[in-house]
Amino acid sequence: MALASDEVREPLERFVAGALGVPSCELTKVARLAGGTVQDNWILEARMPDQSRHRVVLRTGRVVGVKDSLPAEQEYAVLRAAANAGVCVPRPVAVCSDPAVIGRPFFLMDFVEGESRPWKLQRMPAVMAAGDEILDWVGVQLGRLQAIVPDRQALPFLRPAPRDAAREAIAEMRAYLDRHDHAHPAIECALRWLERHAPPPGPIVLCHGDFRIGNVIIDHCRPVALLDWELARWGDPHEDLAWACMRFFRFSRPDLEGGGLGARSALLRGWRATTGRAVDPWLMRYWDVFSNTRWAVVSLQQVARHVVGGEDSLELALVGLGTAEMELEALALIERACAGMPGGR
Amino acid sequence: MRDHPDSAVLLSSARRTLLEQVLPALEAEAQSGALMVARALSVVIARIETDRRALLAAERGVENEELTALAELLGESAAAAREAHGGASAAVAHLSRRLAAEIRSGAFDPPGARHDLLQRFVFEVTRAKLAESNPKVLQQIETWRKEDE
Repeated sequence: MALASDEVREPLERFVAGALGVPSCELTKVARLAGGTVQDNWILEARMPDQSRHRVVLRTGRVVGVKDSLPAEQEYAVLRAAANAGVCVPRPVAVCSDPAVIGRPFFLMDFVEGESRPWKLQRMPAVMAAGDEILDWVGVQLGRLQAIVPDRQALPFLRPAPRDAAREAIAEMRAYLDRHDHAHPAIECALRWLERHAPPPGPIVLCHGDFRIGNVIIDHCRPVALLDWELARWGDPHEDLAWACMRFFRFSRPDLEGGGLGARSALLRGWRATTGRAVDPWLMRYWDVFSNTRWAVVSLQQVARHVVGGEDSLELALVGLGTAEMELEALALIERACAGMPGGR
Repeated sequence: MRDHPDSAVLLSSARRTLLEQVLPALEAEAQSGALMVARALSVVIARIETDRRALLAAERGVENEELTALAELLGESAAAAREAHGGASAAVAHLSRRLAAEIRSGAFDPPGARHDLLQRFVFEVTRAKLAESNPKVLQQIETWRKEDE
């Protein structure tokens, strides 16, 4: 999409001006931000009538969407709900459903300065020294998010809340595998284990859906905002906690279970302080296996976008190569859980 | 017979050039693309090696390892499955589907020799895939697995 083209510039400038509450503005910078296999993010710098500058991020779905990812208008509603619940997010600015403006629905949020790429953060000694504090903060944010529970008014466009988050997700993953072109015995083993050990249905809360350090903006060692809400859904409170701790997201520090930045216990501490709930170690282990299994299945879906969806992206193709990593991790976690060993370092 | 260099050597050389000469000259954003290309090349190189070993084994009349293991798990004959499905890879695909269905139905749940055989099989197959796609992570997970033994 050519956001910087002349046909788009004028209607976009009008929209941004309206959203920022000024009669007009001039877009002095329109540039694509790196990252995101699902969404497109653009930074817009607007020169206001008083010559001040305001930076916003324009977020829109890619042409080929991912199953279960929310369209821009819905993601915007989730972002607002999270902000209202006290979760630190980039300030939602405005949403545009009119395709006449840029050709697709999009929304605007304030630009937040900082770094979110874990492999970059891991090279910053000051960030690593503050790792546990950052994780504590992240746990607090998650606790606040989980105060949002299903009711008739809350986010009505989300798929209905599951009654039994684990079992329903297992059934969905199996249904996907049945449509896949070849069998995956390792994933089947993990799913069978998850089915046989599924905990009784617990409370259902709003889940971020891709809760990990890579979606936290950190500015000068201080976490400032949680990003990327397009995969939000109703689910089990442990889902996001376990997702953030997956080996896959620890990058060069696999020993640091808290997203490669610090201790998992720091994340749980912040979460506990906000929710008043303690984490049952067995449940944590269960959802660790669950997360890796789910990510293995999602990686198959991602690579299917590349293979049959016609989306020629090397990034997507490489995600598919990760399937074996999550499979082996899930098998190893099951092995450990079965042996009754302590759950990792 | 082709002339040298063979595919794996050619790709290894291309990868080295990319990493040592091209990458440093690129701007930050393009570097991540180049690193992805290097990653893809290393996976293809590893797969060529695996395929070459499998081909050599087949030439010597050694049965496909995955097919042999699958057949054993399902109580079948590898040679008969190969015959019935018109080749080893089709037989592996077919038997994998059957195995998946049996796992799902709980046929491998009871503790015992059959359950253990399945565990060994899925670990082995997954390790082999990871050895091609990400040997570094394979080593990490294996080290972690052994730590508390």
